[in-house]
Amino acid sequence: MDRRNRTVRASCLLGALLACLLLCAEPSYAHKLKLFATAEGETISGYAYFSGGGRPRNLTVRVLGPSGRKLGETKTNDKGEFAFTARYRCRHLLAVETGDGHGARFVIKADELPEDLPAPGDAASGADREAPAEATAADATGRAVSPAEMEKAIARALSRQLRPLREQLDRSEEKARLRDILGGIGYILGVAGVAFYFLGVRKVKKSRASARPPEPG
Amino acid sequence: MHIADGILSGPVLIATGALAVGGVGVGLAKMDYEQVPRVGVLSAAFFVASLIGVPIGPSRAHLLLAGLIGCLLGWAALPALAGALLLQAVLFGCGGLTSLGANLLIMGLPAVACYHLFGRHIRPGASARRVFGLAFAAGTVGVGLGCVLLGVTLYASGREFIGAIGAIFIGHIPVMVIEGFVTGAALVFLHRVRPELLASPRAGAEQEE
Repeated sequence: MDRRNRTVRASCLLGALLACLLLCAEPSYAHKLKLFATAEGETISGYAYFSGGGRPRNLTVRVLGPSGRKLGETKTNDKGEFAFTARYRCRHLLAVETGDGHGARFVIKADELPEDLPAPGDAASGADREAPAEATAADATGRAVSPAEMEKAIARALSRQLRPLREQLDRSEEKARLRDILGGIGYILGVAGVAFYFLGVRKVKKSRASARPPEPG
Repeated sequence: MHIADGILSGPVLIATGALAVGGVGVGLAKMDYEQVPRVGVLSAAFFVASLIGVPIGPSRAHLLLAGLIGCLLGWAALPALAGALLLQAVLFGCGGLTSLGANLLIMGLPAVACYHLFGRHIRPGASARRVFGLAFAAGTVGVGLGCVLLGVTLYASGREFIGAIGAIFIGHIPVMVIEGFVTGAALVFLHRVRPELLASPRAGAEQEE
């Protein structure tokens, strides 16, 4: 009985020590590879990063279209950044992998890309792009800008302005919040506690059954 | 050392999943009622350990605690790590859900191996130096074996082998050293205060009867 109590008490002490360490710790990030990208016009640019800090260099970024068709690939530079020019207006899936098991994905939706890009598999990929060019060619000497041009410029500017906000959102998702940590520990200790209780009940029943005095013959 | 979703091939995921389920079953069968609090606390410790990172160059590696957990739990390390890995994947996104089986084998099998290689040889009357030596070896080898298994798993999924294992191993050398000291200190302390915890993970139960 005494040893069992001591074991449980030692375990509780260890657990309490752990909890104290946690409460003193700063917010931390589980080490994870992440990708972030935005589209400005038809350029998809972004970077890969580790949620605890650090950028992977020279990592291949694969660009896949809908149904997994490969649209191209590029590499991250010294700062983990990369850029890719979209040719079609479709969902782009960006995927990176380090050699040691880390991987990350990011999706650029079709409607983040400019409307004058053709849908994938369109034969007349060049034809669509003529129309805006013609409209502005006539205005090239004058300074009037066609509505399509203006809309593209606004979309690009908006994307640039929103990017820091989206980056912040992306990063804050990764913070290993104290409530997540406590929740996880709570689950573990809770399950262990329930198991301990039920196994204990079964053991008491068993020892009571075996301790029953033998029937007088 | 956690492998994310979408990296391993289908057959590898299925094989590791099946082996992991089997391993957890063995661990649960060998686990005694007495061990449950210990399993819970060590599982929680492992869960938190991935937040303690050692910066290595551009990335960080984190404490594994496989050696420590293995020496204290033996086969029961597998159920302990399984629960913690599941919660890490769900709450932190650290490691994938499909690759849970693979991650459990990569981090759990070295734990069991360290118990059989080192933990079992720590006798109640051993000197502190011997305990530290065995514990340091357990901590170091635990991480090392984890690196090897990680390389093997990635190789089985079609990745390059020698280069990847080399890089992973070298990258984890600082972690191996730190973990050796942490395991050493922890086990020396426990050996002095509660030697029955180390004599054998089940000795406590047997002596109770």
